[in-house]
Amino acid sequence: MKIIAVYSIKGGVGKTAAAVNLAYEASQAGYQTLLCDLDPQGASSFYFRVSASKKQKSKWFFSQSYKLFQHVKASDYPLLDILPAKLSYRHFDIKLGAFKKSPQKQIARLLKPLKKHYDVIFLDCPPSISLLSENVFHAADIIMVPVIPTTLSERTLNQLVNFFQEKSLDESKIHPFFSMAQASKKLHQQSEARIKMHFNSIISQSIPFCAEIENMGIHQKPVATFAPKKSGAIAYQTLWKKIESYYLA
Amino acid sequence: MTLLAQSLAKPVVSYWQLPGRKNPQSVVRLIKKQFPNVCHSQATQSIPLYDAFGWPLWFDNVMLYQYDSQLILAPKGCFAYESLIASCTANNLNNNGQVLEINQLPSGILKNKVKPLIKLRALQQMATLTCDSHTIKMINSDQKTVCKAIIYILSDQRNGATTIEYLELQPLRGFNEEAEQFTQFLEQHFTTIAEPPLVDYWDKHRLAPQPYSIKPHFAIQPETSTREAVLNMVNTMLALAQQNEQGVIDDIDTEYLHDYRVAIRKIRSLLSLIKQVFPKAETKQLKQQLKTLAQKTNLLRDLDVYLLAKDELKVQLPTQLQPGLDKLFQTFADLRKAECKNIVQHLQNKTYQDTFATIKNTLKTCKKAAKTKNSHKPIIKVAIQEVHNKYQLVCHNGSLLTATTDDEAFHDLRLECKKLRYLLELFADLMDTATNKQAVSSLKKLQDKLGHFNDLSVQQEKLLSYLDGNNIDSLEAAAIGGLVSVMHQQQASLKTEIISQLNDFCSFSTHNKFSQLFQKVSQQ
Repeated sequence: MKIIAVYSIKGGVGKTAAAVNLAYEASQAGYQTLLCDLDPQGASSFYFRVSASKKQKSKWFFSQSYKLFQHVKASDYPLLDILPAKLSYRHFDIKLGAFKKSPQKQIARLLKPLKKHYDVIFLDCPPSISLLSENVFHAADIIMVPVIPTTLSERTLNQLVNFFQEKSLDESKIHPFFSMAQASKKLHQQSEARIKMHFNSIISQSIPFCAEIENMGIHQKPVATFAPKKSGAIAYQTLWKKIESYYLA
Repeated sequence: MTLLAQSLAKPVVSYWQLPGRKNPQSVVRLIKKQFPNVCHSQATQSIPLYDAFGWPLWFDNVMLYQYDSQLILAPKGCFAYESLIASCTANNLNNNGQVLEINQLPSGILKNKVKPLIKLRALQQMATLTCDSHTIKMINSDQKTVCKAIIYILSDQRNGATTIEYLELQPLRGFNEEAEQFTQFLEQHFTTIAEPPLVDYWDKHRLAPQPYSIKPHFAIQPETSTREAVLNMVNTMLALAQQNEQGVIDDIDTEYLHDYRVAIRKIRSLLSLIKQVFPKAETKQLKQQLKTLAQKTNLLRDLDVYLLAKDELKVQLPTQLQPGLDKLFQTFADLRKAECKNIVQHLQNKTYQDTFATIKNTLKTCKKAAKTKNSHKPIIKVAIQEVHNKYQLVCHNGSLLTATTDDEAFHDLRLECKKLRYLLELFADLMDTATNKQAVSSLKKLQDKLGHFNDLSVQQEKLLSYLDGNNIDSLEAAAIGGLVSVMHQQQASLKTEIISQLNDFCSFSTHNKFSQLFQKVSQQ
């Protein structure tokens, strides 16, 4: 089982779109896939038309995980399940902080027993750098970071790397990729060139800024299901194939 | 089951018989009346079902089929969404719709699961189902599908006139209440079916997949006369060889030829190991005819072995030298193509068919022939003696081997081990199953090493003769030289490993296993 986190300190960079489309691609490739929506906004849950029931309690996340996983829901696509988010997930840091022993490793502990059930788990993370993020860094095998080729995104990527160094975390897990990239913009071209120079681990497949990805909100579906031949769908498919061949083959 | 496993258990699919005299459309109307918030779609399509020769997937309780543009691995007879084991895209398969080699499948979980089940076999379209389906989806207020019912009208194109109609209820994880609601409705109007109906349908219409194994059970009784038992075995193995002919002719995969040769080799071993069962002249004639048949396919099998080892051989060389082997393998591939044509001609030739008919006639003659020394002894006595003798011989010859012994002695030992294994496999029915399995398994470990040793010899010989007889460039020569050198070193270290394996095989514990095997046999 591989745990793939889609993470960025910054918001609005295409995390959820990436998590949704990559999870879909993984399931289409035959991997039993679970997408955990950790963002209290619940955007990836929305894309799959699932919502948490009132009975789903965020306190179960760290105490009675079997109860939590009773609330995993099938998506409309084979082999792809969703654990929907709840607004109460905004209190995760308080709950995690209450752990005296290894508060940074609670998500890893929670997901470990799932290896018998899933081949790939995607974590759609909220934009922040917090105790929850630290949990994600410990639990994930691969941390995919969408980066808009702009100066600010470059800065936040540097902040992430510095954080990993300060906390002696495994930097090799970080795999940035360009998101919402516009090849026609000079600023994007320059930023891309600069970021590529500094980050060897950047995945050589960008996700373009395109209408069909934005339209996911209207369709509430992964882009490949309603615009399979458009550049956005092809880009996610290629990105998935790269991840698969690097880390899962 | 742990609480977590219970939480994550897949929802159980159920099967329902349609209410009498109701056609699918009226069933859909009935459902719509009860559940207004449903969406209905109808489709007709062919579902090609893939498996390898002998249906190994089916007999491992799984099924591989193509649905739309997906190749789907599912539990046997089950088309349910929630029960999928794995799937992959079937686009770009380039298989002409008939034969699919494992390497044509995109890498991923489906390939990883199918590969160990079919091994070197190719996937073939074994049946095509015509499938009319009515999909009824229950939709909630978020427009999310929460439960699915599919009415299938299936028929196998091999017997298209008869169809099966049934409803499959596919509950979705996390939407138990909706599934429960639907089940209650079905209970009022429908009758449940325990198993996926395809299995029963095939059984009824005699389309059921037939198992195949190159290691058949002969069901011999210990007291059966040796002649009757041997005749039974020889006839079964001959039939197995013939079962593989068409696959060799169609060149579906290399296992057809392999099994064809194994079947003939086992008959030859049987005829030479279990002596004086048939009259001398007939035995000699049978041996000669079978030898000719086997030898005819030697070149094709050698080339198959080479080409199968292509990737493994390439990685043994430094990257710079690897392209040097491409031309060599291309030459082998061309040779194989030509040799394959020869073998197809040979198998379709009247002379070949006549030889087979003669062999069968000789066997018929043997059945009625006068008594010979062993012909009427109980098979168990003769078999015990032979297994015992062969085991002693392997241990004795093995004890003489050292790291400096000539290669020839290792080859001889390989042949003796092969004969011993054939004896254990052929007479398995007469022995204690567990002990026999243990004995075969420990022998197999030794044989694998000896087999590898032999392959290395044959391959080196072939490479060196290729160096002699062809116009080759310097890169190719360097690659071949490199490969021969690697193989030579591997052989030297293999000798040590074989000797250590032999010590294990002839050790006290293995000796005990063989003794137990004999004791069990003698008690029967």
